[in-house]
Amino acid sequence: MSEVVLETIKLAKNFRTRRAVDDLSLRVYEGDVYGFLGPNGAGKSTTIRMLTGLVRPNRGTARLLGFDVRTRHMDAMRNVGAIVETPAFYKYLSARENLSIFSRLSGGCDRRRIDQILDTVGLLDRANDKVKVFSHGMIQRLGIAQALLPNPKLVILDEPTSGLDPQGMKDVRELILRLANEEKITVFLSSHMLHEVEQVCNRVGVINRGKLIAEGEVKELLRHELDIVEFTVDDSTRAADILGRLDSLKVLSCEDGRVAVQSPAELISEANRTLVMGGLAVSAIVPKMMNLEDLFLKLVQEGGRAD
Amino acid sequence: MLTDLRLELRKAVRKSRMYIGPTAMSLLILAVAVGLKHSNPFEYLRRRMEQDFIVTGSFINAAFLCRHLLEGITYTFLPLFACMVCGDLIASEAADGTIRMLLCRPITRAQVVISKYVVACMYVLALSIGTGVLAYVMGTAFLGRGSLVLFSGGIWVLPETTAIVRLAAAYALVAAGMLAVGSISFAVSTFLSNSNGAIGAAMGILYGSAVIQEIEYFKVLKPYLLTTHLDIWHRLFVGPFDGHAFLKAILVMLVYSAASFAAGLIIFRRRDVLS
Repeated sequence: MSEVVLETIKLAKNFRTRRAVDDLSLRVYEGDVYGFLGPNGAGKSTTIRMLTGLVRPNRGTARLLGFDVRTRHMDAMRNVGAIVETPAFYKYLSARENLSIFSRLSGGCDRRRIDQILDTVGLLDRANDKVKVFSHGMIQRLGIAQALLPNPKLVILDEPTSGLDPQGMKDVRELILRLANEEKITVFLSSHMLHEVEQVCNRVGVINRGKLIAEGEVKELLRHELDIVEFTVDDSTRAADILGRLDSLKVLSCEDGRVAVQSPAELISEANRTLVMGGLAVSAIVPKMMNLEDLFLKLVQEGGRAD
Repeated sequence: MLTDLRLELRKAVRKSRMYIGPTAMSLLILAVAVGLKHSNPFEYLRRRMEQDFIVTGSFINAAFLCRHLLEGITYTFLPLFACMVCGDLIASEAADGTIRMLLCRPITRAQVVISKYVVACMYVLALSIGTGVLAYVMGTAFLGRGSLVLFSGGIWVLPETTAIVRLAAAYALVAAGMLAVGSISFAVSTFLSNSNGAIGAAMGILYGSAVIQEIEYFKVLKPYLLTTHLDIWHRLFVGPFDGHAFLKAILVMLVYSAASFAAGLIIFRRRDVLS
């Protein structure tokens, strides 16, 4: 088992009477690219703020790289790079000066390293420009640069592609994958871009109303949901009627010659046989591929399901 | 800690807000010096003195400028500019969101507060003492040097050297007072994301305290009010020297500064950063 680099144990936070995060326990292992998902107001940002020590939890523990964020903040943050919500910089300083200031707080690094990072995020030619003239996308890139500056073991990214153009989003996705694959940096990624998370993350956690409602490997979570099959038949109404009589099978929809059912995989052939024996022509059986977006919406609409 | 302080200084010297106070004070001193040189508002005093004394030279000189400038700025420009910077150091970082970026680094909140407070102290002391030095230099350039003549329950004449020493002490006392006012602004800024609020609160406390000290009902509070002691520097120039009164005033101003700093530190260490 890989080392746990980020862990929350029964983390909870109330803002007055509202419970923002409720007994949240999650684990991120070394080498993971962990997607942290949830609808607006689910508690993602509050969780990230507790992970980075910006907000004090009412209960529970948050640990980064084995150190309690509250009691050993300096040790916990020493090898961590983070963007919490929209990155903010000193507008009256240049990009290079900003990175120099933030790097010194993490022990410092030379100008070559700063330029290397600026080059990585495509801002080297704007290094001496004051941040006040930067666009939102450029500030976002500079935010990623400052997170990578201290050669972190763990990077916490809160909506890192927000405000970026499609090329910028692609660049960031590729950068995240490169960080994980080549530099072995663990990434904790909070994002609304579900297709983005699906492309880069190996594990995800889904939070809703402050509670973790699903956690696991992306492939594993999606495999659980691969029990929806669509039959293409000549008479969908009759097909739905026949299939509806079978145990362990649930008709989900019936329209335009297609009947969608939820069924364990081993019952699909039996369902097909039943339809054929009932005199129906089955022209196609298509497993409905659920993507992360479908899964996310399903989980959130169901109001939560422990995995 | 030194690294944090260096970084805070590096940021501070690049902020335009830091230069508003010194620029305004320089212009004010220049205007007063030029005004005194080209119009003599105290000519009637000179004529009255000449009825009983032989007056040589002008009592409107650098020492006179320094002394009378202090009268005008102790409750106005100096506290305003002190609060403007002290109340901005943390509040502006909270408003801009850079405080998030800072606190996500391996740095404690105490380090952030201490380094910013040291910068605030340096600024207030430099502004107060610098104003005195600049007033003397400009006064010398425009009005010349000489003894300090004061009219306060009589005529007091302090030789030039004595006047310089007393003026230096007066500006130092006012600097201590401004440090207390700036510290209040700093403390308020630790829980606000708006420097204007911190400036307003500190100036409000200053003027509120000045009003309270004049109300008979609150006379029991008077020894502990900051404004009671802000004018202690007057006693350096007239009347017998009362060391106990000066020590008490310095102590009260230091207690205000220390208590404000401690409050700011405690608040900032406990607050949730939500900006």
